[in-house]
Amino acid sequence: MRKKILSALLAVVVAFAGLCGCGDPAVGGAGGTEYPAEAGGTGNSAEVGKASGSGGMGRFLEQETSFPENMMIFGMEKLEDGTVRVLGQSEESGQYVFYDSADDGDSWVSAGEVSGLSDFFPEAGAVSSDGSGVLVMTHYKDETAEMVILDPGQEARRVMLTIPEVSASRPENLKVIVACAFDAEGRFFIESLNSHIFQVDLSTGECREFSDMEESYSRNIGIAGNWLFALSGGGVAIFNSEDGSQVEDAFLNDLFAKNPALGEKNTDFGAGFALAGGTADEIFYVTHEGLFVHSIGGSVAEQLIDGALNTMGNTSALFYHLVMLDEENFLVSVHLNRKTTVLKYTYDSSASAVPETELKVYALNDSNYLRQVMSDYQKKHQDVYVNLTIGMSGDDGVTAEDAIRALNTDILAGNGPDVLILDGLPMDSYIEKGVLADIASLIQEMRESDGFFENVAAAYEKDGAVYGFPAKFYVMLAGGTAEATAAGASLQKMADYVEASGGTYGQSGAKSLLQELYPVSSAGFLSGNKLNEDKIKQFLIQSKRLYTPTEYGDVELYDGGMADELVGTYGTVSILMGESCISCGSIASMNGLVLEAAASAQGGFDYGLAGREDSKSFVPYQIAGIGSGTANRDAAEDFLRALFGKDCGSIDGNGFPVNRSAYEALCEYGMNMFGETDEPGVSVSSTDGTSLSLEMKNATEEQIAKLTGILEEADTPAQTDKVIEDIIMEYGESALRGDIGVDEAVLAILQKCNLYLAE
Amino acid sequence: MKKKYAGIVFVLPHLLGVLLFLFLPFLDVVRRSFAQAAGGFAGLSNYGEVLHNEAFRLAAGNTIRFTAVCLPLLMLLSLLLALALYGIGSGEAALKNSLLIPMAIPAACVALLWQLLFDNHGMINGMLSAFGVAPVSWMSTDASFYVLVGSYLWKNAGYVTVLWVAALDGIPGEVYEAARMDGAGKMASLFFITLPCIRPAAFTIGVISFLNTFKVFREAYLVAGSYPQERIYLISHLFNNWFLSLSVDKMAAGAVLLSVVTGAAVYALQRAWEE
Amino acid sequence: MMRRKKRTAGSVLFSILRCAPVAAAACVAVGPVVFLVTGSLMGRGELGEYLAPVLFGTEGFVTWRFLPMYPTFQNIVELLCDSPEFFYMFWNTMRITAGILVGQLLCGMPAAWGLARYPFRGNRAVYGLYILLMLMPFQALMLPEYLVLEKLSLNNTLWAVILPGIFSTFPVFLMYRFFTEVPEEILEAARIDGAGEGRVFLYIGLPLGRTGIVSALLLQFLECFGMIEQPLAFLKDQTLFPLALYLPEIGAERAGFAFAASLVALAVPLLLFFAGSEYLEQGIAASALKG
Repeated sequence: MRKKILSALLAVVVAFAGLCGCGDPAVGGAGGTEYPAEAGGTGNSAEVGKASGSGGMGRFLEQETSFPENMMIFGMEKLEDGTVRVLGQSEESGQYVFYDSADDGDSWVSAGEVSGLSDFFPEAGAVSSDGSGVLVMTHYKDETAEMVILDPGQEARRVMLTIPEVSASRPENLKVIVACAFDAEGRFFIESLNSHIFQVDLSTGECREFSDMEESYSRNIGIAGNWLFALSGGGVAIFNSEDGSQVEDAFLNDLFAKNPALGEKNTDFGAGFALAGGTADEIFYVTHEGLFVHSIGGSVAEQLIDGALNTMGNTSALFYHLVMLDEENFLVSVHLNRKTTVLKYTYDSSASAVPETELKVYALNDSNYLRQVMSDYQKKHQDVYVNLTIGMSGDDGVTAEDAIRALNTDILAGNGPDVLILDGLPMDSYIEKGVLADIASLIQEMRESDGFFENVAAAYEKDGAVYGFPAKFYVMLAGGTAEATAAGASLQKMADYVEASGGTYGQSGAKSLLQELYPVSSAGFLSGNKLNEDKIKQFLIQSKRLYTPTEYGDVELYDGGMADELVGTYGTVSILMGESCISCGSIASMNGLVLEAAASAQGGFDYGLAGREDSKSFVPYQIAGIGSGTANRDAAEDFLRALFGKDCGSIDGNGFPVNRSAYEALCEYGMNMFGETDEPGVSVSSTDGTSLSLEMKNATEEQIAKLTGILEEADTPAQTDKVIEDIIMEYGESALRGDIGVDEAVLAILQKCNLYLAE
Repeated sequence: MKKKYAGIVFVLPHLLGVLLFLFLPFLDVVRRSFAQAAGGFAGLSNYGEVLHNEAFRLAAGNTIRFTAVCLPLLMLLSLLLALALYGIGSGEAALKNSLLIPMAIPAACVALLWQLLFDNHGMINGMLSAFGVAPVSWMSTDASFYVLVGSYLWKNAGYVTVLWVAALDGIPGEVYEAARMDGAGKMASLFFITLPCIRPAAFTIGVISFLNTFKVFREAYLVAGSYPQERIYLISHLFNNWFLSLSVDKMAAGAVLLSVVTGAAVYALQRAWEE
Repeated sequence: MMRRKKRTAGSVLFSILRCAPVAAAACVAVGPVVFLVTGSLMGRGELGEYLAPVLFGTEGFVTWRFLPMYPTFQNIVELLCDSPEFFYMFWNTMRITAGILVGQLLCGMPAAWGLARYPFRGNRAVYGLYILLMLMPFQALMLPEYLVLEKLSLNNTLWAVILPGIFSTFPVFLMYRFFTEVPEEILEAARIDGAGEGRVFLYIGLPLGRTGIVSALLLQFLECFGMIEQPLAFLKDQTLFPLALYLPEIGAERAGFAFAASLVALAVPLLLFFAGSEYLEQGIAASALKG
């Protein structure tokens, strides 16, 4: 018996020891949105640097090209004349589109759309080096396969594929095409679901068996030059596409065997791996680890680009295609955060091999503006690696509280970020607890060089100190006919006007209505540490009067939750369309102003700052501060200079810059948006089919002056405390829907907010 | 192994871990309770601030009330269940296990079910309205307190019952046999044998039930968020919110106060029990 | 052993009185599982219709059918076939649970025995400390615990959840009580027969304290399965997250899927433990008889 117990205990110990293996963190993992921190250990600087082994200097730098559209990319290839061509299916229109870049990816122009393929559902596609694209599809109904050959500016040519009856385990799966690719000589290959690879004659559709990979369950092929890779979860088989001979490559086989995810293409949006051909035996490949060069048959791969220093390392990025432009330039098309981008990697011999400084930037929500600033900053400071952490990426169910809790833990543990974007964060607590550093001198310096909207800036200066400062802001407008514009002075007058005129404010969901109106009156909700019961009550009463549920009940028309892009909601177009009798919403860009001016011109409308009689409020956006524990104060200040600065601030969209020089540059842009001749018309149509066309014109001096006047008038920040906003939204929604009375809602709001304030 | 050192040898490995992973952090909490959030000695000011803090008073009051209602209710209810269940014969194990199910249901799912039941438009209000009774706002009135009590009982009754049954198991059968010989009835053996015999277990079970009152926070948080109805705003909510606003100084003082009070209560209880 | 009883009216009444509350309690406890089962068999459309008053704020009240109108396995198929994250999270949970339970068997159980049976110097102090630490809410200890784990470079590994779990004082407290019940005379008898302290523990303490051990492990097992706060605090890499964190992420809009996931998440501990605990208990008991 004793033996039995001993062996039982031993088994327990062994089981326990077995667990040791489980503790290892996923190597190089770093979940979804965090960009891995390690700026390369000292040991691998030689690897990170270019092949020449030049020691401390030289590195590939990343740059995001201005790829114009979100699309599912089927092919990206460098053509014989040096043009880079992309074939994709536009997410918006569903059309197949070619884009060309004649300048190595720096700019992209449309090379034509292909229409008339609405019944074609491609499984895969590719672009050949002579510039034509091919898409393949399977007709499941009659078990046939078809391809279509696309050339810019030409009619699409559809060809049925004739696949030979080869011996196969599931013959019907021969017609199900899962992958295709061109080799360097323009030979076209397809792979079937049951792992047979065929070479296809493009003119006839005749298929000839190239290889049978049934044993390895290959479901994906890739071609680098004339090397055809049959990829699978267990390894890779490499063929010479010219003569069909197979070559052994233990290194690559091992790579795929160890990382099964690399060889599998599970999504329509790229994979964790992409290939490109080099000269002769040389191939290039990209994974989340970086970009590597490898000689077929060789036993090592050399890392050219360290993924940890750029987007490659982002594990939520999926690679479509890799193109080698020359030894010092690569393009990678990527699907990331539901966006399609083409990244360009250029070798810079003057950059240090490893960035010396890592700047940690934290934002609760992702935003386009922050991304713009980051790439701008990164371009100017290539010695700094910007490590951006997004607290709530939106696709993983992490709540704001979870994110803040994690951030606070980091701050308290002394690992806080260098730069904080304070939108949605408990800024007042952070100031009180000394988390933020005083940036008054930086603000003063920028005030002297560029100037600010002082009405906005003043709200962030207390006793000569500045802990957080907004880069952008926007205001709420209300307007329409002369009476409507007058009524926009307060929510109550708006509601009176809507009722008197017999119209509606416009259909919307309770939540979106409250979100829209909240910035108009929230500035007065909290004075000092006391809630203003009367104002909150008025807000709910008037909102309720303005609320008209949609005909489908209380359906949210748009989800205001996760907007990467800050878009203005003000638009008198809705009055022209007869959907409402007054418009109230935010204006956040020159484009918005120009569109609004066009609608106003047609209807003879006017506008003013919404709720100006209650409070003249603005909404701050991208409030930023520096962590007091930062070791990179200079770099952090430089980052804020970019964030608050003229270059990024003058890009239209995402609110107006607080920086005065940036605003002036933006106004310039507004007044010269269109050339003399090509002022476009915009046509808008409503749900019931009425449509309307508007004539867009450059902004005039008067329009700009009016907007500037309003922007300067607003001197009180809208309430930005997330906790209070959430509580008011929650009960306000119930009150609007009629689940509870307004008084009951106000009572509940006061009780909870007071609890919050008492903590 | 000599008996003299055996105790220490048995305890030591675990104790070292406890010192490292729990006691060291605990000391750090004590230290922080005397320090300012931004650093620097604060004396007793954190304690003063916490004791005068309205939110703390409310949360402490609610927690005490919740414990005072739940603990006796749970212990009594589960004891009755255990007595009914004990020796029921076939099916005892199955019944016992089925009582444990609530504890195994993931908290997120419990929260979802709670929402479906107790929402203004929830199932319970649906049933009430079918009988012509006006709907009750369960989660936004004082009724929320009883929803939480119900949730606690539902979740913990099974496990506590199992513990009671285990205690009943420990009573040697001969004792009952002897009592029956002496002519004791069922009631008499319950009061003079069963209850005294499981008295030591009652202490352990009480402490564990008390420990689990802190865990209702999970469901309350998932259903009603950080700022629930006033009556179910518990110490855990406050600690959670304090951490979000980086008030670790207050949180530390609050935690030390909490541990002093609960520790003293448990100690007093134990002394009373051992007499 | 069983004596044949005369069934009098009184005894029938008594057994009804006795069974009824247990049966009622069992129904209340099992009730929600019925929701889970039916809910996971409903399609999105059907479920959406019943739950709309809560989820989408339409008029009326939530209703339910205990036999789905259009039963479907869509949710379960989606869960088992199209949700790879469900599986790796499931395995994370299993690793964490196994790690903690094994650690507690190896460290916690002897500690409870040592505290219960050996009145060494400082015994009471250690016991008091254990109770004190047991009563500290996690939120209060989270930050300093994080700092300790950071020093040991354990954060963002499963060990950050497992190690503090092993040294939780609660199971020791529970097992302690059961170990104190073991009569001292039996131990003395064994010692006189020449058994060392280790063997006394293994052959007498363990079998006689088995109900306590199983109760403690059971509670700990359920605890580990539902752990939310610790992994959220100490793990950053989502590939390390346990199942309990997956479930809150399935929004209310996917209620059917959430029901199915909960059902699977529930079934596993039920099967594993409830089936296993009997064997465990018998196993320990058997070792006593033979030992």
